[in-house]
Amino acid sequence: MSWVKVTLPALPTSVIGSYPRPKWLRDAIKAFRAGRLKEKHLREAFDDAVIAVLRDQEVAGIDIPSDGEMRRDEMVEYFAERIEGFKFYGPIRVWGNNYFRKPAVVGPLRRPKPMVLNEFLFLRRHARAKVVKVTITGPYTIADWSFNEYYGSKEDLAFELAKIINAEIKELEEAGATYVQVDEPALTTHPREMEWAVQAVNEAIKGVNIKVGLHVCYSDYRVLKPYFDELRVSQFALEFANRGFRDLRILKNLSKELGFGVIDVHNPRVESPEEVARAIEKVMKYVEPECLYVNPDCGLKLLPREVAREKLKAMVEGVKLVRRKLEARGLTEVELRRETTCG
Amino acid sequence: MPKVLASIVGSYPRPPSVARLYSRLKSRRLSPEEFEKGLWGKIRALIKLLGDSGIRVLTDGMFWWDDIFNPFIRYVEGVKVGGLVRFYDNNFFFRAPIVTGKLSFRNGGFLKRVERSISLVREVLGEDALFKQPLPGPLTLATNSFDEFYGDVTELTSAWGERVLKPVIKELSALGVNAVELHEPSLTWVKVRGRAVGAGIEVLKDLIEGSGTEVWVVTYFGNLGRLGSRLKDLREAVVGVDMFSSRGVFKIIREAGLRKISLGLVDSRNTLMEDEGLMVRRVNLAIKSGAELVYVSNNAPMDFIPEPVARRKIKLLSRLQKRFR
Repeated sequence: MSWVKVTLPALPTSVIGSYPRPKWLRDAIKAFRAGRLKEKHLREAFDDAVIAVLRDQEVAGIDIPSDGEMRRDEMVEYFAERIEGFKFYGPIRVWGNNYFRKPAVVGPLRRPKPMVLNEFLFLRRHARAKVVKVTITGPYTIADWSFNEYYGSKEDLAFELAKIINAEIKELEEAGATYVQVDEPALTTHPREMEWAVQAVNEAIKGVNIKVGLHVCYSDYRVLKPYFDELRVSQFALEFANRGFRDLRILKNLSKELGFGVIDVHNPRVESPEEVARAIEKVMKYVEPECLYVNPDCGLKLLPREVAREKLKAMVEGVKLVRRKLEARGLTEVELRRETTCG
Repeated sequence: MPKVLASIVGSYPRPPSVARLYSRLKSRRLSPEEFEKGLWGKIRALIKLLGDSGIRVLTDGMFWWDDIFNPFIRYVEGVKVGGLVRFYDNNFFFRAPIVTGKLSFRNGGFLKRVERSISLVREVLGEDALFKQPLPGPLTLATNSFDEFYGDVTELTSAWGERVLKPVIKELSALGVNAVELHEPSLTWVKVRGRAVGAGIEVLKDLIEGSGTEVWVVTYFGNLGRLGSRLKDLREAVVGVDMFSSRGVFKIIREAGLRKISLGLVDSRNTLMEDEGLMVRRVNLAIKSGAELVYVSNNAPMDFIPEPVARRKIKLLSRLQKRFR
């Protein structure tokens, strides 16, 4: 696919990926698991839910929506269920009362068929936005959040996963995707592994010619900073609201785009547009507005849907406050960029 | 003859059925009374499971704790509960304490819960079972806090120890806990500086001496050898060692003169079952190195593995204990 120039309003707004599943979808999933709903009806419910949450994002004014990851229970589970070689022993807690089924690698990994291609095609067909975001969990995070019972080392496992993710992203590119976000929340967890972890991420996006974002959250960004340039992505989508906008200094000399997290996804309090605007103005001391996107800290799925909706609206309203000021400076739009540097 | 006993350190994987109780309480589908009844029923079932496996030195599984800090920090004056922070290098997160004023323990129901755990253990397993209450250690509290008041990690560590843990341990001792388990991953964590570690040991030494009950200092996620000769200051405590992160453990036991040790022989972060023969050899080496009381246990809280795996690992510890009877 050839790269087509696309313009977006200055400070494009986006989401990180997940969005709360509507109650009726959760009920449908339960009914399916209990054998009370046919698979084709569950598929229909998933499709309807994607359209519903896509509209939520569009009504809120989000420039680059996702499909809300409606079909995914969890960001590692989803891929582990679709890659041969994984096994599940049971759920483990991540925080409070939130669990995920941490998979174990018990055999050689193989991707029998595309994992997120159909998600993208459906989203593209139904989204009104010029650009949509497709999220895919990165190789390091899948490796780190799995028990390794088969490969000689976590590094071997991560590079095997990188091959699989790379094939997947290339298929997305072939199908017309313009913006893929690789989710690597675990990336900085083990500083000693950073050297090869960064290479594994680069391996996963090798030969890809579309915009690639990298989402890293709830992490020590001081560990990430030395690798800002080495990572062959065009954007870092980072969480800042949860940490009260501490650590902004790490963005000094960032030569890539920033997806700036301004909404705390683990707190039901809805931020005011003015708070959002203040945060954006703060970060603009470090990042040029031409290189700045605005998004929530992380996926919104753990919030009640109405809270998620209100938070997105507040975020967009906050962005509009700043856009007015930027307009006075002559900045009204930016181009969707795939380059790995900005500013 | 040295004693070898199986023990559970810290948490046991909280079953989703317990999480459902919390969720139903939050959405008011359960009254607080129904919630408490359900929660303590689950804790009772765990104590029975552990007892049936031959474990007589245990915690209550920490089903009413979200992590090693919560809800404990909610019972402390001078602390606000902050955002989610990663727990060392795990995909596990806790709400971090933000220290905004002078610290002090204000109880407010914390001790009542511990009292209930003690009586439940006695009721299910009898008087000879040893109940341990886990608490975060002073250095671990200090290094995982956002400090907006004390301004210095040494002072903050000392405040957590002197103003919070000391009175709590005193109260726990009066309640009849058999031991207090101070979780101190920060003692061996590579990112914590030597000066802070030194301060942590000083505070721990003071807590151990004035406790009135047995104190365990449980380290994990790092190399115990990092403490060097300072380990001697913890000699009166049961020292917990993560056998999957430490090197040269037996030399350390010998040189520091540790008599009571908790060997973390099963890995709480890995689903693979440990080699029983290797575990036996390690216990024997600990004894040869001078340990008179060897607890065989999990190396870290068990939140990081699924419950069915934890259950198998408990059985493994139990079998190991039998081999030394």
